[in-house]
Amino acid sequence: QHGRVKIKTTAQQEEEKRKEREKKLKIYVAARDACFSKRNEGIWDDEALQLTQQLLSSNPDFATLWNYRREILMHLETVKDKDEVQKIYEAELSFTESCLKVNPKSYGSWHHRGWVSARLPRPDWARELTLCDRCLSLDDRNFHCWDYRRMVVKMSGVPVDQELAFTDRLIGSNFSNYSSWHYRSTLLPLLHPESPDPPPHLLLKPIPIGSLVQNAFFTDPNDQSAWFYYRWLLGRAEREEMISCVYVNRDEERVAVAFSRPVNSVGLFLVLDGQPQRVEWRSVHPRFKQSPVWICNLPPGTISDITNERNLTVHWTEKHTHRDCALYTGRTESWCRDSATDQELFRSELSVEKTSVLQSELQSVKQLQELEPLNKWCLLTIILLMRALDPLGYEQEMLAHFRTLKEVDSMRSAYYSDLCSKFMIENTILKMEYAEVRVFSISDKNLTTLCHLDQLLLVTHINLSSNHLQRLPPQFAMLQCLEVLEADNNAIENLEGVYHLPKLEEVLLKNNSILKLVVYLQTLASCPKLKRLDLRGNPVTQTANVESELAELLPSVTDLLL
Amino acid sequence: HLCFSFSSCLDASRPWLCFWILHSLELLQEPIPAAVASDVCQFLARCQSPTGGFAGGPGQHAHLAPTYAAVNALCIIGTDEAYNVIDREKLLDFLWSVKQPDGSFVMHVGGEVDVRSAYCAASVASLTNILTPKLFENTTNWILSCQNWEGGLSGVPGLEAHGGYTFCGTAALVILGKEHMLDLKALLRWVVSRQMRFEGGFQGRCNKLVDGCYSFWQAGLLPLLHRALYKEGESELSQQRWMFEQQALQEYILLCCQNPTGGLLDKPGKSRDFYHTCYCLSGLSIAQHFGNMDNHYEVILGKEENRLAPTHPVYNICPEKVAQALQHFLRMPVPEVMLNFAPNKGQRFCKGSLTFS
Repeated sequence: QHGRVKIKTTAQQEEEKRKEREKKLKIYVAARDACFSKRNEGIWDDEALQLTQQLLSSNPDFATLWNYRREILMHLETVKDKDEVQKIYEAELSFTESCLKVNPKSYGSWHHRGWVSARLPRPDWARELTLCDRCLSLDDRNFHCWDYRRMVVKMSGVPVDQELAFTDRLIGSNFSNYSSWHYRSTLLPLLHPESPDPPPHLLLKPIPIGSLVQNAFFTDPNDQSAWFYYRWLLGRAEREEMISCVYVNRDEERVAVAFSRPVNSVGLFLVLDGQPQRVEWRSVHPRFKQSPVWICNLPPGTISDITNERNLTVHWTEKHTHRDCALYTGRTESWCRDSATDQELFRSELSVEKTSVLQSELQSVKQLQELEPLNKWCLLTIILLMRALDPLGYEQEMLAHFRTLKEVDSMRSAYYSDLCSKFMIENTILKMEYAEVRVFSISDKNLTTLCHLDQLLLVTHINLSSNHLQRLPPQFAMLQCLEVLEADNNAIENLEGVYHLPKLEEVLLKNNSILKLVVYLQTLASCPKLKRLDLRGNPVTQTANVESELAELLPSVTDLLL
Repeated sequence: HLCFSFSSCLDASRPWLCFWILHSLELLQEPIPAAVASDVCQFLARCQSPTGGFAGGPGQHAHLAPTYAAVNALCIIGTDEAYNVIDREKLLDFLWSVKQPDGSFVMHVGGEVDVRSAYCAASVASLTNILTPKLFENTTNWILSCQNWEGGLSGVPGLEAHGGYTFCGTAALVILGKEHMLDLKALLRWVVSRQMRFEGGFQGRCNKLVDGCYSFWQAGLLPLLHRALYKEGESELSQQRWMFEQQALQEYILLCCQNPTGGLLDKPGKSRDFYHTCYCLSGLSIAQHFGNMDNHYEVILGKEENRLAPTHPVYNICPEKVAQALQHFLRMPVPEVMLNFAPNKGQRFCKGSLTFS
């Protein structure tokens, strides 16, 4: 009928759409096949550029076509003059820009643009930076764009402080911009290349970084970005791999070497009075292929004569380093060690300047904590700041904060208990260092886990009683000098780590959870000097015949308390 | 003019479609009819480049991503016909052609570098038994340089830690036997912080939104870390659970990531696609199954029929298919590199067309 608009039914619309798609598909396939055949024939012409342009506009992930386009452009470089090439590549930049508008995350598009920028006779890096600015304003987490920006900055020599100012602007407008924080973290070390240790990001003058971060978490205390970044700020430089202790003992003719981190024994050599020794290194427990502590035995009679002074050197060829240790006349044992404080094991040394910066940070975060008492990030950051400033001085406050933290974030209370245990162990090691004794005493401190056992190589007496420990793990075997182990009143059921401890005489395990002792008899039997074993108050004492079994399997134990 | 909505055009990703679909079906324990399997084999054979490796489609250039997908798809099919599609000698040539002197690999000749390439290369090389130490010289150190202060790994050194790249780097190191060289504790802390407290799913990077596909890329790291830490002598590992909240992840996937007409997706409001279907299901499988053949512990949320087949945490195909493929290819000798390459520039001359780095 005239004058009336015909309304199409859904079925008709569907059919029309299908026909439309099919038509477009046909065009696409025809163009693609045309490209392939041109390429196979080695044709590099304008039509090829046109065809690839059409296809790449629809499918910028078509790597093959980007390759073909580059072949064509490289060919054109050889037949056109510089100005023409400049024009061609500028057109190319426009093209990639339109591709990026459609899909700003296409690897192919970014890669091609980078390729073009590097080849332009007269590159315009300012324009490239502007492109990055625009792209980041649309999506500040686009890592393709961040990566491209780094390349542009590098190629054009943009100064670091200018880029830092850029991150200031981004963060100022949006604290959630984790990528900006991250970019900052890569820029700061560039600003202070002469001070790798302590970490340069602690040197904050003249950039008032503290205030920027503070603004971030005062504005939104639940936003992850600033807190993670902050944790990095408080971090320490990586410890280099080195030998931290060499211990020698005439009685067992044994040498123990401790490293700053787990290593394998490749390249470890022993030299005695200038003579290389044939020894076999073993880790403290068969479970460890990598270990911070390695042991070997010298052939019998090598160093047993106490009237001779011996000079030992341990060489570690992997890191081209060595450690000397002199074994003096009349001395049964000797060692050479960096102290935990010297090694800055647990925290960086802070200058007066940094200390005052961190102190004011601590005040700020404490203020925030008063406003946001349920925010776990605050509490955790306060603890970390205290650890950085004065681990021993803040010990009591730290324990109080951990108690609050466990209430506020109760799902992770086990994690916090373990973390607190770690910090208490660090403090005990520091106290032991200052007192210059070989006794490690950490009883009644709610310990749920053991760590830093590699620092306890020289310890002769350890007191772990009245804690919440469930096991003495394989790492415990690093206590190579241990004579007395006190661990009453815990929940210990696993004794794996009481393994080949050559000097161990007393093991006190009253009121624990030991049941399957048979499993650990072999480990206990590997300690040749074990004389006293206190197992009172353990479920195993209810087992029939336990006393006679133990007497039979551990004959050297003369003092057995059940 | 050709402007479709080709925003997700997969014409250069067709082996991926084979893998995503075949893997989803094997997780759902849905058998593949022999005719379909054979068709797939023949199609993938057409995607194989005459110079080695697989491309996004017939006639295209070889690229490490579709190479990874094609080899995985063929191993899922697991017939002799499937295994025989792979030209091992040419595949090795292709890997050498994309190898860089600094240990990294470009994704394709003339393409970009990032840590995905190391994983794709290590995966196909190990499955088809063409792996030699020389091929991966310096690769370990390059991958390690991608681990940053956050604990995760970035695509290239200097960028933010990202779930997809972290998985690729870590799995590649596991294949090369060097995972212990990572700072495993830092990596563990980073990845567990990526599980979202409300959603239960995982985010790809700090302070981004949850996405169903990270159910595999991120959660899949926990089995790798579990094994790596165990090998390091870590004594406090669970014998029943991975170190992420398995039930919460299953809830996110089942309750938020399903399309009522079938298929899975990123998050509510997004449309379904085969990529998300594959990786949501892979993540669901990881969340359901703890352990290995000797010690297996299941947590199935909802009905029993929700149970999926277990997946191999390194290759992301079913463990039996990994074993079967290894058994098949280990009987063959490792091919020697035939042509004389300068492996650094990947320069090759072939039939009048110039490829370049």
